[in-house]
Amino acid sequence: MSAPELSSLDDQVALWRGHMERRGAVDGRDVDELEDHLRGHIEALTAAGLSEEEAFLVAVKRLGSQDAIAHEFAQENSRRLWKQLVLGGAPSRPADARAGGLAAVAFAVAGGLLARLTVAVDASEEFWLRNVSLIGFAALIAYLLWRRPPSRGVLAATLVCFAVVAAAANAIPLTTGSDALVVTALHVPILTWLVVLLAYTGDRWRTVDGRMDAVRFTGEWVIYMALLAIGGGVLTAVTLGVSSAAGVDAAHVVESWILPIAAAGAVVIAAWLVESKQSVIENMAPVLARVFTPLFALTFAALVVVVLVGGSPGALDRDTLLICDGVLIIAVGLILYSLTARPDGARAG
Amino acid sequence: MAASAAPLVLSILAEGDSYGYAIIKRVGELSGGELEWTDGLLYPLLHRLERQGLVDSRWGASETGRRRKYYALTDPGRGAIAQHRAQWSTVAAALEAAWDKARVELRSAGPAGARA
Repeated sequence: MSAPELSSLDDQVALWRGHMERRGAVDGRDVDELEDHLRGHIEALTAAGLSEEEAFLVAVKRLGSQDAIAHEFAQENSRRLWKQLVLGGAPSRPADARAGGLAAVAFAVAGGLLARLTVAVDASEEFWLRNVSLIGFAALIAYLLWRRPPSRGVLAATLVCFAVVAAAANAIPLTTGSDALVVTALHVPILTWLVVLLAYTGDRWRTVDGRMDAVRFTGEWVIYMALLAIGGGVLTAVTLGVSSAAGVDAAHVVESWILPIAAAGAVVIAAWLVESKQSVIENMAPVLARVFTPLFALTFAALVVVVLVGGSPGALDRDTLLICDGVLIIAVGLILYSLTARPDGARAG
Repeated sequence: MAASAAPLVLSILAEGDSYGYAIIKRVGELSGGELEWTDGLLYPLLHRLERQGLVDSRWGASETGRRRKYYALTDPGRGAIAQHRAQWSTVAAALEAAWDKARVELRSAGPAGARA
């Protein structure tokens, strides 16, 4: 048994493990147990004269399809999916300080403070329309760069891109309330998000896998953001209700303190959730994309009808065009995301 | 997994503590290689038996130092084996009786059918 063969067996087992761990219902210890079985069987087969590769194939085949195993585990552990969502942990990896929630919270707090400080310095609508994404995503970019430090080149590129976007967002002279300002507000976040994705993929930005991961990250991040926003909205409403019952008007505090801090913090927390609870949302995100794609297609068709009925395209008012713009952005996101959703059982086993 | 899986696993554990791969091997030996399960499905079954309190599990190490989960029969597990035995004897007796009757009918109906 030569050394390269051994490492290739370990690689194959690790690959198999990775696929198994991604299944929601099977946690790290279950996979440990299955791996012991797999390796035990491989040892018995190689002792009987099979090559390691043959032994691996036979043992995996005898173990059964990952779908079937995960399905049985899911039936046995139907509560575990929720446990994962609430308590976290699975797939359990060796403790890694940079993967921990504490660090994410620290970056989230930093992001929140940055947003709060900016509100204190300049709270004008125009400034915020131009810069909201830059301020909101700054801490996220910092977090991603810190979480997986890229090479110097990519690091520098990320920072330069961020600076360029910031300059572009603020350089163009625009009058307050103009449509051009709205268009800027709509597109600067997209550019900033591209910088975020560069920070996310790091050195892998040139590989297909890295880019696919970046698109997946986007979709899952949007879902977590929406979930956090719903929770935050309810909390804010309750806070406002309680304080008005107590005779205090909390609207100002909410607007200038809680909202910027919470929103900027949620940006980082959502990214951390995407990374650490991946197996949970992975089952949900493609489903959501599939549900909303036809609905948005219908909306867009309705929009086209409105445009056609409304007369010549040249006479369209800017508002309609802006809505078209927004819908197109969402459509691109949905299509990209549906494309990258891993087909069930792809390359499994 | 077949209905016979749970009593078979419990009975194998009655021979002594064991772990997944060894249980599968023992099933093969006991059935002369006739019973072949999808190996991976044994584990959800073991976990169900553990949840029902019929077996206990603990983490140990294999001869080569790998983490390995061992299962042991509990007292309720022993009780469950007795129940399974009674049920399977009843089922086996009922099936035997049914087949005996069928054999009689086959003997009388078979040649007649051939002549017609």
